[in-house]
Parts: sequence; structure tokens; C-alpha cells
Amino acid sequence: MAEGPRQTINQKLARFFKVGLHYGHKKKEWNPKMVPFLFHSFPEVNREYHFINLYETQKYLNKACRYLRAASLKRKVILFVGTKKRLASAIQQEAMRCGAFYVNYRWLGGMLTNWKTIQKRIRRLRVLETLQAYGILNYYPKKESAKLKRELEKLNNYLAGIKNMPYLPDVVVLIDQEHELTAIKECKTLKIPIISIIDSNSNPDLVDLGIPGNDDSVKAIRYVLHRLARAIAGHQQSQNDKLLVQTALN
Amino acid sequence: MGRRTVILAAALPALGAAFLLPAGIRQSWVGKSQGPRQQGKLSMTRQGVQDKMERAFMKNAIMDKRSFGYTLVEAESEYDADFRPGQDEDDDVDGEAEVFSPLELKAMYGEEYTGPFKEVDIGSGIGDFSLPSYSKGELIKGIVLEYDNGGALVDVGSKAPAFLPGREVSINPADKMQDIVRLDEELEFQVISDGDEDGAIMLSLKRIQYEKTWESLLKLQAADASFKGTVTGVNKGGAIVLVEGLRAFLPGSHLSGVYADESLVGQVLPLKFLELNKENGKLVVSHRRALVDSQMDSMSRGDVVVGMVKLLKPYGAFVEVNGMSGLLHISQVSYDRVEDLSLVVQPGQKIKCMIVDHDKVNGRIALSTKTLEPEPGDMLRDRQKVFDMAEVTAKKYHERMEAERKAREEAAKDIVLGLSEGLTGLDGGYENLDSDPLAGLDAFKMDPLAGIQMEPIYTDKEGEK
Repeated sequence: MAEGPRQTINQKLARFFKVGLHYGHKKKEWNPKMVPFLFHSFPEVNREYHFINLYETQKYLNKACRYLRAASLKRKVILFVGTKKRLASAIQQEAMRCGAFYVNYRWLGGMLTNWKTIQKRIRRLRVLETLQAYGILNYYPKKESAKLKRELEKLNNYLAGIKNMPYLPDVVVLIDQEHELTAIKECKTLKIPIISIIDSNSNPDLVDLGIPGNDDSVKAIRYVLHRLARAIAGHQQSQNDKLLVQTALN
Repeated sequence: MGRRTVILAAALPALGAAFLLPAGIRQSWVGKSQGPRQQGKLSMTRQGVQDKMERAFMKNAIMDKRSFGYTLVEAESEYDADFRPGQDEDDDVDGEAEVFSPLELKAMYGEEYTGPFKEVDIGSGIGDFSLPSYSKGELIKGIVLEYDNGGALVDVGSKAPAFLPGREVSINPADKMQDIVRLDEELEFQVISDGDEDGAIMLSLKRIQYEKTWESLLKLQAADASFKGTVTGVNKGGAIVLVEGLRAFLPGSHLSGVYADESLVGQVLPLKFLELNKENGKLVVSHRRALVDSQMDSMSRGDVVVGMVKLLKPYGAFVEVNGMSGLLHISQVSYDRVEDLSLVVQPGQKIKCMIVDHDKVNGRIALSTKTLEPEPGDMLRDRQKVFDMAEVTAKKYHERMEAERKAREEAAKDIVLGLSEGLTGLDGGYENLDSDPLAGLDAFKMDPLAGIQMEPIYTDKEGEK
């Protein structure tokens, strides 16, 4: 950055504060390995909760963005994993924005380590989708048709995000570490690098690139996801936007 | 040397890592194809599948993972629109190096960067370090973020967003959540649960509404004011009425003027409270009471009114008159004996009757058709004649009654005056009641009816009155 910062660091971090990225979990629920990322507040400010060091957040968020940008330029498969109920739509949206894959409902055991079997389910999902597209489902007897529709709905729920995934992902992006322990274990077995938001109760050693931040607030998570999604695909989009702006001005 | 170079040359492509990775990142995907799990036929990793793809038909299909492209999702809410690419100053990922060590940061930002957060940063005002904790029953303000399954997420400034269940949105269960609670709207909520493990609390709008409605209803009851309510349903005992969003019961006996059936649903009626009990949630209203006040003054004894027969009982008929319930006793129907009331009147029929007595407090009237008969027994024979001539007959009846009353008064006066011959100080009236007027009388001496002309009420059948 040859010219110098475009904004003061306070102004940059204001966005993080607005979104609530600095809130940590209760002090008694912390993981001591998170010491370098936390700000130990005065008791007068808050007795119960930890706060997260936003300088570190910014640093690692930028790092993650760069990493994902490089990965996307090399056409790697990226998988977003977030199984919290209130994040379902957010994960889907952000992943679709950038052409990544996602798991927003329950992480099925063996999704990666047992990928071969999961693919069988994906094939079944495709079959059912074709049946529905051609309207054949309606020609079945009532009960069977209802059963098949239910099956389709269930499979869609779990597998919609990964039905087009050609092979195992090259990077996995997690949201809440405690929630996704199965996913982490599978990625470790397969030696897939993990990027994750780590909160004051998470273990930074489990992940390869941890972004310290609040993993509970929908706003905060959406912001981080948005930054990452933009990094993955935003290069094109921001260029397109610039073109649009230029043509509009002309 | 040559052999080694050959081996090296052969080994390089086998490594498979033909790309440079950014510095500082663990190069964990290098050599993935050579890991213990990936040997042999199980070749579900990138390398293995890529080989297959060259052979399989899937090469032409979706396997270009950018094929479904970049979908631009429309901004759904304000904060989503905020993040449009190219607009954000944070958007500095166009390939520039973004990893800075503390020394570099210090060099860039100079004085503003004070290193990792220290306690002094609290006072610098860069951000809000408060984390409020809410307790059950508190009233707080929050901004609605988005609709979640079965509810809405509300930002109240805490670590995790608060949840507003769909059930707690309104008193009226038929209301849709999307109508009442809009995105990015700031509303006041009541906390109904303490935080769960994430710090997420549950909120309610219904409870606040409930309290307010009960308060206003209590005020109405205290003032004994009349209010309006819409009928939403009808059952055996009466009707269900919606009063300011709460369901109230209107008993059948307190519903007047209209029949309690399905046609009543949707109508707006004036009502007054019969019973209001908050602890039990009891809310009973009366239509009759609301009409009583306006109607009672307009009626008096002797009026001829039109009423609708509501119910037949062995001892008489309940007739609905001007919103009030009246009883037409079987003995008051006609001068002749009435064997079967249903032959004379039917429920739902409109009849004319005279008010004989009324009870303002309970809103009850005593009715009679006997007095409207031009000739005794007309009610049984020819009801229509009675009704047609009702006003005329009534007038005659009143005149007759008046005459009788006067005559009786005269007679009574005569008696008293006669009685008072033995007394002193009496002068045409009942002014002096200290002494017993009958004292010193010989009851058999005087004929009380002497000299009085009394007309019979009815002449014989051939004669006229």
C-alpha cells in the first residue's frame, strides 16, 4: 500500500464493532490457547465476557481472504460448513454467490471420509429430481408419491450444497468450531486445510487458519462470510462493477 | 548422475504439486495423492478423479466447477446491501499482500496503532465494549434482522441475536408474522427467557399487547362504558366475540334483537361487561345490557310494543322487545283459557303486546296481550284482528282503566268520608291518619257500595260495551 492507509485503523475497525465481531464467550468457558487473540478487559467494563482483539481479527481475516483468492484463482474446490440453525440461509446465499459448495444443515457422518457412499445418495437425489422435473412423481400411487417427495425433500436439505461437488474439497471453511467437530475430524483425517472463525472457547490449534471473532452473532458471521465470498469471486464482480460504474459515468 | 537426474525428473511430476502456495500457509495438500489412504483403487482425491474424468463421460458435464457460475443474490435487507462489492473500503483483496506484522502495522498507521489491545484502548472510543445481559421480564428494544424458521431474529446488542417465536408475535393467532414484524424495524419486546448457552434470549410481543389490552378493558369496566365487538363464532351457549383482540363470551340470554346463529358471524355489536377476571382469563360480555340503558327510558307501563317471540315455555313465552327480554305469561295471553301456547304463538313470530310491568335493574319486562283483545278470547280465535286493532283497543283499555281508577277513588273517598263522620278534623281526604278511621264504627251499619254506580267490564255477548 504505497499511498498509505485509505482509512484510519479506527475507522476500519468500526465496521467490526458495528457488526459485533468483538464479543467473546463467557470468561469461565474460555480456552487458554486463545490468549494471543483476546483482550482481557477491566472488571469494570465486563466481569463475565471476553473480548476479542480486533487487530488480530483484521490481520487474519485479510490473510484468509488472500488465501481464498489464491485458491479460487487456481480453481480449487471450496466448502462452507455451518450447521447452526439460524445460519442456514446465510451460508447458502454466500456460498452460491461465489460458486462454492456448502453444508448448511446437519453434517452427515462420513461426508468426506465416506464420500463414495455419500455420492450414492447424491445419485439418488439426482434421480428423484429428474422424476420430479418430468412430473413422473405424480403418476405414482398417492402414498408412494408422497414417500418419494419426502425423500427428495430430505436429501435436498442435506445434500443440496454438495450435489455438484466433483471431488473432495481443497479448502473447508467452518463457522462454529464446537458445532462442527465431526467435520474437523474428517478434514484432519484427509489432511484438508481448514479455515474457521474461532471464538474465545475454540482451540486455535485444530484449524489451519483461524479468524478470531464472534461465532454467535448472525450479523458478524454474515460479514465474515461476505468478505470471504467476495475474496473467492469478488475479483470478477468488483471488476464488473467498476466497468458498470465507468460506463454509467460516460 | 544421469540416473539420479532421471529419477528426479520422474519424481517431479509424480509429486503433483505444480503450484506455488502463499507463504506462511501449511502446504497440506501437497502430496495428498501419496498419502497412505489414497493408494490403490480408492482414488477419490483430486488426482485420482482427474484421471478418471479424462475417461468418463462426466468430463463434458458439470464437472467444470465454475459452470453454474456466479449468482448475484439480491440484497434482502439493508445491511446486506451495505456489503456490495466495490463499495467497501475494506475491499482490498485484489491480489495485494495483506499480512502485516506488528512492526509493519506500526509503520503504516503510525501513532494510531498501539499494538495489540491494551486496557487504554477502552477510553479511545473506537468501539462499544459493553455486553448487556438481560433478565426475564425486562422490556427492551431491538431491530429485526431476518426471519428464521418459525420466528424472527432480533438484534438487541448482545453476543447472539435474540429469537422471537412465531407464537409470541400477536394475541390473535391468525395474524401473520410478516405483517406485524418487518425487517429492520425497531420494536419493543419483552424478554421471556434467560440466555441459553450462546447468550440468545427469547422475546415476546404478545405479552406486552396482552397487558395493555387488559388495562384498557379494566378501564372500560370501571367506567361501565359501552364498546364494540365483532362476532367471530357461535356455539350452543351463545356467541364468541372479539373485543380489542381478546376473545370474550356473549351468553345467549344476553343476546337480544338477533337470533344467535351463523348469520351473526362478522357483525359488530355494542357490548358491556358482565364479568372480567384476569387471573382466570374470564371475559363475559352482554349485548342486552348495552341496549338497556338506551331503551329503558323510552318505555313505560301501558305501552304497546312489537316484539319477537324467542322461546316458548309451559308457563309462557319469552318475547324480545326493543332489545329487552320480556315474559308473556300464559295467563296473560287471553281472557280465555289457553291450553297449548304453541297454537297461539310461535318462536320467531312478531306479536304486539302491552307492557304491564318493567324491571330496570335486570332489564326484564312483563307483557300482556290479554288487554289488547277487543273481545275476550280473540287471541285464540283471530290473532290478526287483535294485532290490527291493538292500538285502538289499548287506548280504550287505558281509558277504561282510568275511569275505573277514578271511580274507585271516588268510592274510596266516599267510604272514608263516610267513615270519618264519627271523627273530627277530617276534611275530604286522608290528611289525618293519626287516628284509625274505622274506630268507633259499626261495620254492619253502613253499606260501602251504596250509591255507587259501577259498570260491569263486559256486557253479555250480544250487548255492546
